[in-house]
Amino acid sequence: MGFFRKRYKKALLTKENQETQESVSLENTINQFRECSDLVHNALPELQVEYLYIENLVNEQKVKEYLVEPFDTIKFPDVSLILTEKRYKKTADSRSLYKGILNGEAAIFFKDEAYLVNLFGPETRPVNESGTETVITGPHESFNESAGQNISLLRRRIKSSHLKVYKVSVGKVTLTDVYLLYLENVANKDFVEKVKQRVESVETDGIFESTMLVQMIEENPYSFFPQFLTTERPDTASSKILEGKIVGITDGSPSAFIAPTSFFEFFNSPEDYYQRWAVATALRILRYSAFFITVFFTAFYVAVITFHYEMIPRTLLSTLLESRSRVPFPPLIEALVMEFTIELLREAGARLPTKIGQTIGIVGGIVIGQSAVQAGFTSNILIIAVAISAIASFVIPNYIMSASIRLVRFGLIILAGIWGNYGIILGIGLVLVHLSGMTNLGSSYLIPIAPISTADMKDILIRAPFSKLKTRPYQAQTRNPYRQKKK
Amino acid sequence: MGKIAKVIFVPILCCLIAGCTDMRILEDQGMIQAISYDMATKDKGSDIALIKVTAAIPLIQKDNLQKIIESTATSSKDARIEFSSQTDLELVNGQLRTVLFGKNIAKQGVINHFDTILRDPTIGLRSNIIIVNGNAAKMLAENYQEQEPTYEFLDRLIEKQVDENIIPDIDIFQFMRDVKDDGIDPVAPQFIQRKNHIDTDGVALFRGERYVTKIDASKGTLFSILNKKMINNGQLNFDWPASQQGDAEFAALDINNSRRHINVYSSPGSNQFTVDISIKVKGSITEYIGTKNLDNKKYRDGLGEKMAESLEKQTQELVIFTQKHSVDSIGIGKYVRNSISYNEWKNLDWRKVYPAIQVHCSAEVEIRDYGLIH
Repeated sequence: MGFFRKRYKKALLTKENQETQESVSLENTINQFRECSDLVHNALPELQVEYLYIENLVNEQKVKEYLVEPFDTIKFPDVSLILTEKRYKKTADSRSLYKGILNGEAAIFFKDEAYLVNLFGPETRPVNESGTETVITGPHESFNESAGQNISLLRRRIKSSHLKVYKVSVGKVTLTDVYLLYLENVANKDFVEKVKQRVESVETDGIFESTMLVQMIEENPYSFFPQFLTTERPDTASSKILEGKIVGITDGSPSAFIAPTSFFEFFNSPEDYYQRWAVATALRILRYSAFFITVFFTAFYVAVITFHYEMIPRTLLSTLLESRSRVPFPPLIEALVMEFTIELLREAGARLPTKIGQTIGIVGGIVIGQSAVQAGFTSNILIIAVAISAIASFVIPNYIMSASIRLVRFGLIILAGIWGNYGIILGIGLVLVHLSGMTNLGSSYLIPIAPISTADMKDILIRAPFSKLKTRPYQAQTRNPYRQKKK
Repeated sequence: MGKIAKVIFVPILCCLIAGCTDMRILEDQGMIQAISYDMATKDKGSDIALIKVTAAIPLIQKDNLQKIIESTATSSKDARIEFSSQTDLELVNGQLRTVLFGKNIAKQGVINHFDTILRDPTIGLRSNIIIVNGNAAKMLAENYQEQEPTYEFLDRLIEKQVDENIIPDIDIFQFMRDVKDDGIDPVAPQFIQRKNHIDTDGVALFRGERYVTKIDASKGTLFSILNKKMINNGQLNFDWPASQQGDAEFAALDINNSRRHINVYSSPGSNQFTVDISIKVKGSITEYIGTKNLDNKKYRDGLGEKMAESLEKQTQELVIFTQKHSVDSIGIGKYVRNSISYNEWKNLDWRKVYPAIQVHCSAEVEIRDYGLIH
């Protein structure tokens, strides 16, 4: 069709280049994008129109609709008429022009003027089931890497004009869009301001994940524990928005972060609300027990075998004696070796492709389960302790929290091996002091236990029937605390 | 204090607070499970009474489940020193569950031997104390059950018998408290070694720290009814021989619930006390051999009354038996003490007064259930 098709290889866009103010011109723009092989440059000489866009960011359909077809049929005098259409935005600023091109817009040069038209539409992953937070009942959709898609998932759930979507760009090079979603009439304004301000003040070249971003905005960066709940589930995120909390979505990341968060929220699953209250309450109790088992079981074994033989019940004594008598290591070493092996297995299983992952299970199961005991390498009671603590750690719904807790466990095992039960208590003391000292956007991390809030316990420690859950959580500090009609 | 100083000092302080607890790795410990005390046969020409102490510790070998170490010494402390040279394990007391006293040593008093047991903080006060009618060491050393060491068998036997209220639930703490209390005399379960099993011999009665006599095992439940405020388990058997009033009858009552109340009446200024012990038993008939049809409420009530009558008689006999031996094993003294002022009690020689006081037992039996016979 008489088009000239030229491709220019442009150098990578650097920060300095971007910041220098230049006049809007085709030459400058082409120069800016030199050595970018994906830049498409088309000229329509008879119309005196040239346009540029990045091939991999645009949707073919849109290119046809907004660029090819409108200019194909017209004559030169009509060009200015078409460009007055709303979708063509006139741009006089070279920086926003470059940014537009990088965001998937096409730059159209006509005479001395430049126009941008949005053609953005690269391929995205379809909405899939969540890999890390699965539920049995309840919606199976999960966030994917496209922020627009994720916001749409939330908008579809909360049809309210009060739902605000505040956009911040983070990362000097990546210019990642971070969207903060909150209900304007419910969320606490201070919290909203704090989050906005913190996200805006992040200075780095780039972020790729919400879990990465939250580590840059949290108050206790040296802590073992995650301070912002991250979720891949739109139902969890929208329920947190309704509670008056702020949900952050990072473009390119399938997880959303929630602020402020309390420690106990990491132990709740969205399924708690889809189940009957009694079942959900039992499940919550199960999860908290799992937490204690994970943290203490192996440590307690080490403490009892090393120091407190008095505590062993009569019926267990002979079994323990028998299995321990063959083991050549002190209990602490024995336990650490086993815990280390389990962690090896877990990490290997997580990194390997699923098909080979099964092999790990079999090898691990046979080697650890049987051979280690038969060879007199460890006692079988310890295997049970280690295995149960490992299983219990996977019961905790949030993977990041579960990993943190597993790490803390190692500390407790070592303390138990040095000082016995005293060491365990010492360890708990230190962890508790640390936890209760932590804050999240200035609110306590241990709400509703410290400061105590009995109303919140109904929805944190247990899951009361919905008729009892009339208020939003205390931690959200909302102006609008009632979520159900007051009677 | 700077942050670095805190980081350094806190762990150091923690180390100091921990003290110097030794590691006691399980498989290196000789955990004494049961310990027995007996009189040793005296050497001719020696005045010093020797005692024989044995201890049972668990073994991991398949054919031998317990190891018995024994020593003869002048005191239990000497014996312990001898113990440790007999084993490669470190002897520790933290798992001690049963303390056995031979009857002959119990007659001389048991307090001295308790000293070590009470001083060692690792010994739980819930360890049982039992009296052996015969040689305690011999009873402990023999094996009665396959795959189960004697100390464990004994421990379970005690637990079961206590649960059925055949013997009183006496641990070290209760025993010592009763020894020191002037309103009650201690008791302890008594066992005897038969040919190839251990049998309950009854309840050993002490006067202070010394063994006096025993109540037969068949009266054990009766004693529990009198001794405890309330019991929830146990069985009472009643036997009426044929007489002019009626045919021979036998009934077994399974106790659901039995309550005992003690009321003390005293005339001021005198040492005259009248004690009323009232017992209310609720239970089910588990066995009845006789002519009457229990479906009839009249007969059922009649049987209840007969049982109550028999119960009154038997408890009365039991109290008189303790009065005869001048041991207040039921603890009536505590009720008397509560009914009078401190000075009056101080001036009272309860040991002398007790045999002379009037004790009246009354009983009520309620039959809850008598079963169905098709």
